[in-house]
Amino acid sequence: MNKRIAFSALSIVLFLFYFIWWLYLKQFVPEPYTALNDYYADTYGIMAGVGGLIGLMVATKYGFLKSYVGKAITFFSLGLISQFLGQLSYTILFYVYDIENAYPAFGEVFFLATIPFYIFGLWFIGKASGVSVSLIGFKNRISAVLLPLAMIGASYSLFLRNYDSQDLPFNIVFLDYVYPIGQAIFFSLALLIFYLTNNILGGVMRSRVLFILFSLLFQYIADSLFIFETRAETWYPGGPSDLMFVISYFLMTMALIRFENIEDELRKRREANVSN
Amino acid sequence: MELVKEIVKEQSLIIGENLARQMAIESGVVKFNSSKIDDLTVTEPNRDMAIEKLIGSYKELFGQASVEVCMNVIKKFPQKK
Repeated sequence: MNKRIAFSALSIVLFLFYFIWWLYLKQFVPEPYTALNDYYADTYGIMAGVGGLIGLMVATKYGFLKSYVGKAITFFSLGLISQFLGQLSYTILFYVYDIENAYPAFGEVFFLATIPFYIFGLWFIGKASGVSVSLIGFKNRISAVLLPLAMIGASYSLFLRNYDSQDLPFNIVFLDYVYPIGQAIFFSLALLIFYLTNNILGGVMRSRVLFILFSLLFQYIADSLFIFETRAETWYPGGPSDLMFVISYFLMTMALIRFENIEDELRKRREANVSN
Repeated sequence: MELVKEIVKEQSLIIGENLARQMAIESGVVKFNSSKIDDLTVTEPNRDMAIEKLIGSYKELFGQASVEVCMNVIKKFPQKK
């Protein structure tokens, strides 16, 4: 069995497990604060941990940190691993130290680290995909400034415009600002790379790069939904935002796995060219 | 054929040495003499043909983006020399 099939099979099994679990909670567990809900919310990060480890193995194919693609895959993998470690930290606080709702705790360091890891990942995938060539044009340079600013503005308007920081400790206010703005930055970078490389990026890597950008869209939706739910006090373990995180981890993992085996697609393309 | 070496080295910075080497071999115009990325022999006697085939091979990976990387190396090359 080749590595790509083994990695994909493992990820799909994990995804189906958590997806079916989530459906079960929705259909048969009307009370949202059961132990089954807690176990769900405390363990689905395993998907991110497994995805991150798979990603690091895939990165070795590209020389790990010795190439742009290797660096990009490594940073996206570290982003996934950070998500896992963040969740693990809170799980340890809850099950080992019996501390509930410890926010903000040490685990936030890992959740926060995801943002720069994804930004670095995007930076290097952008470099590999020809962003620097596209940035020669004036229009594209202006877009490179305006698009992130617009996204940060939109995030501010959505999440922070009516934010009341009075009586809140500094660390909570800090995190409440940093998450939406940081997420807006990595998502706007993803959009920017899509826009700047649309005419120049091709070959077997095009669909792979686009898959990564697409998975970041889901990560952004999951993060935003989580913020909405916590602000509206509607979040519960095993709820909609947890499912969105499961989907986004799965998509990112599958996107990284697609970099494992490009030889088959190259071979198919060559055979198709010969037969044409 | 220093230019061919430079193109392969530049591509290795993007996709890593293994894949850069593999794509260069598949272009059919180079042969590697050791594990070093720049220790290679160009087997195609026609310089333009060798470069064209090499760029064509890398183009399979990132399309025009790969071509632009190679073109930047070509543009810089006379100054380097």
